[in-house]
Amino acid sequence: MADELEQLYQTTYQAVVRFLYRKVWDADRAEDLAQEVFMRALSHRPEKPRAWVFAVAANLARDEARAAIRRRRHLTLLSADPAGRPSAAPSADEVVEEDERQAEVRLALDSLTPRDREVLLLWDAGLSYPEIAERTGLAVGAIGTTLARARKRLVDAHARQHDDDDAAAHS
Amino acid sequence: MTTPLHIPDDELHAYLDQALPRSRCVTLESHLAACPGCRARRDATAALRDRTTLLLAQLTPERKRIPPSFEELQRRAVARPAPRFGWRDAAWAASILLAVGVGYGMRTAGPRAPSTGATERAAEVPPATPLVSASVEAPAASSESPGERTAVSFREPGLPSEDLADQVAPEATLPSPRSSEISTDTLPPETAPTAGLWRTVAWAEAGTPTGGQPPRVDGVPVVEVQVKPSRDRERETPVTVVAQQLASGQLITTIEGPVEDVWALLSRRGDGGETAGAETVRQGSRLLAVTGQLPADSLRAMVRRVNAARRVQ
Repeated sequence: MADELEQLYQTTYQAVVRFLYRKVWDADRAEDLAQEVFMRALSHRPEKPRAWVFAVAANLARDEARAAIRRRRHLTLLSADPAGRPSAAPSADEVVEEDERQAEVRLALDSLTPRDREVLLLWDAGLSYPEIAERTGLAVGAIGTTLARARKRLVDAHARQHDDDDAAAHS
Repeated sequence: MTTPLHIPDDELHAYLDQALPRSRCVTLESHLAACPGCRARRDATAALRDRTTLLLAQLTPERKRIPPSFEELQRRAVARPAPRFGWRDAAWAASILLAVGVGYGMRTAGPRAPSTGATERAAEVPPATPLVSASVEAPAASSESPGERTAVSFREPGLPSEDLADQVAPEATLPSPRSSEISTDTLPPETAPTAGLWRTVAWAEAGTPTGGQPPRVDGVPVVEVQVKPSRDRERETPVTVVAQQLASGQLITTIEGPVEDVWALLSRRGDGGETAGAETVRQGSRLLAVTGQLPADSLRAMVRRVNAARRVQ
């Protein structure tokens, strides 16, 4: 079991980090959570570790999102404190462009329904159709349909986003 | 198997994702060889799939840290602190216990109005410490809605080195008992729930079945005492959970019982969110724990204090 988990860790750790990052949008936090996921796997020794790891990652990300909402509320209360404000240091052009590109994709991803998004992210993380079906409660036969819809919507939403940005830049 | 007139979109995606059985792939491939329309759609689907992968690849976090080795992760997993008791669990447990208590009370008490006076006892400050002289106001005149819980006007214990009892205000106003706090302490003893279930009892009654008063942090008002027979019923070693409320409104919980029972309670932590800290002291086969959303050193000081008081008892 330890060997299986070790192999899973070597092959899947980065995929779990990416999966978490696309939910919590914080690279450091995604890494922390990914390590937490694997430490829990070491304690629980799940029978189907790959599917289990992503299920726990999804749960941690959900809890993280709730905690982030609470933190944001708290920060809103503290916003009168100048020390609490983030620094407004100018970013390099490349960084800004990269951030803009990421933001466009993120907006497109956020425009999907939660189910479509989850199926797409699980597929991109490397899970098989049966594993995605087990995780989401969908029938295996419905995964292809869901992925077809999610992919099209993501690409369309991103194209619209891009067009809107271009239109705004030229107006 | 009949070959469809054209390949549906979902099958094209599944085909490209290598999620179709081999036999189905053979059927589709023979159709693709003969159908230029489906070949064009397959290519468009492949392009869509690649485009999606490309877009998602932009949402890859910058790699800032080298991930720990698997051995390091194993070491951390072994060395990680004991599981903590989440307040979400405590809230769940409390709501279930209250529901059981209320249900049991309604079943046995029938239509008679609940006695608010009896519930006051669950919120009494234990009289054990001579340093505290907290009093309880009669709740009858309160206009507060029954569902609200007001904070007790005690000062919060701060640093662990300070005397907790000294920090308690001489006069304290306790919250109006909620209607949902009709606990099993209103029941006559013979109708108490059967062994194995949690019972909410008044502080004054808490000592009777346990052979001594349940451990708690001295000088802080008790808001709820719960007692449950241990799994090892023959040894008559119940688990006690004493909830106390600090001046800030925060709850601290002192749990005492056989090691496995207390660990079972502590280990039922949530998967995330805000969890309370817990500090424990083991004495033989029994474990004492103090939990709450306080700094670890404060909890540690409390558990030492409670343990010292328990030994004196």
